[in-house]
Amino acid sequence: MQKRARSWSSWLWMAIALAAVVAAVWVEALSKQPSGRANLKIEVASLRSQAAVGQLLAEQSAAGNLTSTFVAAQSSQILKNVDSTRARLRPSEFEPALREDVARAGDLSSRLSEDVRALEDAGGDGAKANALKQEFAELVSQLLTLEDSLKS
Amino acid sequence: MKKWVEIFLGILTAMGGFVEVGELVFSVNAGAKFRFSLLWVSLVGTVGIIVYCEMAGRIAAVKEQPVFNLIRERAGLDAGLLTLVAATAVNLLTCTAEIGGIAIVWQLLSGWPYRWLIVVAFVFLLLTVWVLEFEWIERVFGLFGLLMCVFLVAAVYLRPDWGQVAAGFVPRVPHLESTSEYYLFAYFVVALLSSIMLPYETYFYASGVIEDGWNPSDINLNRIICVVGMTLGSVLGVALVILGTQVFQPRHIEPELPGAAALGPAMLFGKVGLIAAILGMFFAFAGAAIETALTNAYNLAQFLGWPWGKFRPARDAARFTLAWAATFALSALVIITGVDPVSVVEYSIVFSVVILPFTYFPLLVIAADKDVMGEHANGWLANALGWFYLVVITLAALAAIPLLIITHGGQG
Repeated sequence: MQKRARSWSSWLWMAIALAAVVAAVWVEALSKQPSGRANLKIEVASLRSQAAVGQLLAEQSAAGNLTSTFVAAQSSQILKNVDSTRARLRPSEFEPALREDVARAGDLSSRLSEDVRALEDAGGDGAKANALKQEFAELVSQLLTLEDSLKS
Repeated sequence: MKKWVEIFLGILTAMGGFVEVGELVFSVNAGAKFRFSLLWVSLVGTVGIIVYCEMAGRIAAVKEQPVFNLIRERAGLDAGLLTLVAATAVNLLTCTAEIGGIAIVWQLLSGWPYRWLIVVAFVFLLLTVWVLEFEWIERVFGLFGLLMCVFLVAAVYLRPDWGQVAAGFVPRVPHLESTSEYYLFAYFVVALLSSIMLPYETYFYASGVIEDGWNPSDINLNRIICVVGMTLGSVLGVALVILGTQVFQPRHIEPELPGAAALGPAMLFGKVGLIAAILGMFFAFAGAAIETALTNAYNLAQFLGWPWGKFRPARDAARFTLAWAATFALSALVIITGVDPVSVVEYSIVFSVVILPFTYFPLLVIAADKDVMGEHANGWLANALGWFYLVVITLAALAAIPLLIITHGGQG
């Protein structure tokens, strides 16, 4: 039994290592090419999700359901994610045919970044949060449109 | 009467300690991305963790031998050592993710800088494990982790279509738009299964049985706590999927941060719901951080033959004590460098499933062995379920890393 267990463990370790190596080699080969439509869609989807969280945060802040500390801290955490996505949206990293879409995503991410910063500064001010609600909703809608256009 | 209190507390502790940062993130996202279609994975995972924790607890009660003794004994020193190294690395990763999660939720409560809160979390965890006895660690974090029930209340309050919820428990693959979405669905199947069946849970449970001094007369207690506690715990996981479906999917949100999940209860119950959700997450994450750090110490001590156990004074189990303290310290150091805690969660969940078969196989072999376990050996049902799950997790272990890479870390 012990021998069988050892042999089974060794074979399984090798199979897992092989699967990981094959997948890594494949990804390495792909990473040498400029990013395509699928990668841009992932970045836009991430921005859309962050904008939608911003919208919900603004809505709930305006409704008085959140503490001002929570709004400021959650906004600051969203901002980090938005900024790291923005940093990846360099036109030179994507296929030339996508440069216009990348630029559009970059513009929307800048607007999102400003809005999240405004929400962070608003803290628990319900009126300011209420004003930002609509802006976030528009961003979600525009990012959804861009995301849909990137579906292959 | 004392026995019933013990059973009751054991069930509540198992329930409150069931959810950790990985399960929270993946369950809410599973609902947000695929509605109720992944609920069957919760069911499969819950039965799986019950089967193997029950076996680990039974072996520990009968033989007074924890998991890593058995791995070394059955798999041999070389393969056992490889499993030990992998398990230690994965536990470290999980502990890192939990400490990151604690700092995030504390930031939501206090507004203090994230990096300072990592240091505070490290000191808090260190002092807690140093000062509290094993029994109290289990009870404090398990029972206060029940604040997570606010997600359960929110899920019921949201009035989902219960027919659709029930249909989600029937295994099926939904109709999706593209091949990449099918890969993403497969990735979520593997990740959700892993988040429920995290290997540290089995290691910790078996060592806990020995810490609590259980013996063969406690086998029924072991069975009841595993079945009832973990089933109730998994109800919390199901509630998180429902929350993802009802709150986040219609709003196009794929919540990555724990704070986003807290918005669900806040929407329904205002600031009280928000605070309960954040505190529940804190106790759940802190409990998991402590369990992973202790698990690392248990595994190392059991494999290398050091004296171990929280029941011993620190000076009598110095290397064991140093091992859990070092796990906290290394985890805090990793997360303070600025690595994204959400990515750490992702990797900890994926690599956890890779080591599951190496943990479960020796357990199954011993639990089924009548020469070792006598009248307490597995019956036909435990054997059938044990082999079924071994096949399932072996397939999941083989698919986990390729799926992580193909789906860009679960993004699509």
